[in-house]
Amino acid sequence: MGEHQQKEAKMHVSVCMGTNCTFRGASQLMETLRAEEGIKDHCIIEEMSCPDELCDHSRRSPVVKIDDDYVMQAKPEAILDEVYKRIRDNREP
Amino acid sequence: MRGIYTPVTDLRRRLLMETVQFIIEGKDPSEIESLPFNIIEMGKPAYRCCSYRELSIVKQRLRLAFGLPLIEERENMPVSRGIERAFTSEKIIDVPLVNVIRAACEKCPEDEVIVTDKCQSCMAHPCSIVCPRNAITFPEGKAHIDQDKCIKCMKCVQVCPYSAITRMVRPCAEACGVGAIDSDEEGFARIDQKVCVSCGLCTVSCPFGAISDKSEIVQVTFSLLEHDENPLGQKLYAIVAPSFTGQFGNKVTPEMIFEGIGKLGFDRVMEVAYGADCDTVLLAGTYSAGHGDFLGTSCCPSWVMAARASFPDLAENITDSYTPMVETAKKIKETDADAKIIFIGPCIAKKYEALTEEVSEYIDHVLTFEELAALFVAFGIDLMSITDGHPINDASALGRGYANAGGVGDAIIKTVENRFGISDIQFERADTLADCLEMLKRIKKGETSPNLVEGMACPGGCVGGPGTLASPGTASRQVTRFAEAGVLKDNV
Repeated sequence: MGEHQQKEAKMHVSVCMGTNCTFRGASQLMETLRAEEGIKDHCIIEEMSCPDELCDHSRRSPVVKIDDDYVMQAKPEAILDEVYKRIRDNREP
Repeated sequence: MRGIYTPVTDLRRRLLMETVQFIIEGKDPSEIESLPFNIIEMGKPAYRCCSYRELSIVKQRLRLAFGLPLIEERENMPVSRGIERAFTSEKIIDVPLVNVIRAACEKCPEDEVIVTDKCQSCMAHPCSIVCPRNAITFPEGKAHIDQDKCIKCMKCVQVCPYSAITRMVRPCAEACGVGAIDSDEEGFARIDQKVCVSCGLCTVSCPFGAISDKSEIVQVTFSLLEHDENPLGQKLYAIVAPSFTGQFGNKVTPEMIFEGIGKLGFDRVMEVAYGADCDTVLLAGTYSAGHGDFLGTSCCPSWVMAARASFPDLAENITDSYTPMVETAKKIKETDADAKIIFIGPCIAKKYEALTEEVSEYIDHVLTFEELAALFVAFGIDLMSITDGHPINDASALGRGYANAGGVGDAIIKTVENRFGISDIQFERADTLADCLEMLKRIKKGETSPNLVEGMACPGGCVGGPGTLASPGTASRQVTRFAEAGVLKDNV
């Protein structure tokens, strides 16, 4: 019973706001993630700086990091799907 | 749709970036046929019904990105025909600047008043009663408008209790403030190039991205690469319009932007607000010396052209002094007659202005902020990682304020008051060409008699330009902020 009272560790979702990613719509992606009510209590959504040209001159932008995993060419639906999936997986270990 | 990132925006940006990369990688013109496949994937259409259509459209977009005219489909020429001509640092761009890509045009329903599903077949049917032409009948219960009779007075639209009647417009034609867009024989949008004033607002209004402007991004890229190989040769100058300040987000300061432009390879980066300060003083002098009906501003080329076309007599009152862009370039040429000068701004109309005989000797190329962003991306410059910004102190608050609607008038009024002690200036201004022409109509009728008139083609002034990256509201606030940080010195 004590386990259920323990707070689940929050997921870190970082959106790159470097020039390449903002060129490909990272600001709008950030706003969409921040607007999603269902994930507010489970995630800390932050900005991150350019993780060293992972994006190949913006071809693979926007770049998002969910905990330790990078998601390239991030679309809002894909990121939200992944976040919800992880929330479910955390609930049913 | 400035400030909203749509698939149209996405495609345009990917295309610009791939074009610049192509040149940076030193690829041969003959390899151009491979370039579309960096943007689309055959068999997996991302934007349209099929990848063959996407390919046709992308090829035409590439021609414009290279600064070349579209290929007329009837001419059955490969899209790469004549592409070598674009592989230069010399100026090749020419009119027409704004073009409809017919392959991309969806032939949206034209100006029509239509009854939507919201119609409830009500008992009152006030629509048919108010119609001055008896154009509305009820063949199957719902209201039906006979399009041959309809005169688009909009009375039915206003009276329907369900707002079930609406006017369909083509976004491009609706955005055009000079009525330059109609349809060709096949129903595709068509720009009458004799009427078009190159404001470019149609390019950001078409939800299919079917209208696009030509770019000099390729020729600027070659200029940067050549300069890099020969840094002691012809010097490169970037002159930046005052609307630049909030274009890259609120974490990127104006100083960081200037530093980033410097990193591209420019020898010097200067504010066009400097030229605006020059113009303010010139116009204040002209104003105080007395003038015709009124003094009209001239920094917006589209406003000037639209005014001259529709109200040639009134347009005589528009000053013929050089624009801030040219004043800034003139200053540079005083000390460096061989300078290569590239203007960076929110504007497509400036691309037109730079083609005119008087201006072409001062300005070599014109880029939009979006094209500048593509250069940053392709050249690997991350503005967020810049720690030491480039100090900017070329201009005063008044010059920097030109970027917001009303800013030019404000600068002139303040200067006339300070320098010549003249106050109580009747000032009228308008933004968007439709409103500008309405304003001139009122002046002509004598309904209003201003002393000073400011016209801007873009909504909110230059911050609403088609080449901008940020939403006009955000950009406008950043312009004011940067202006307030400038020293309000007795300019020039």
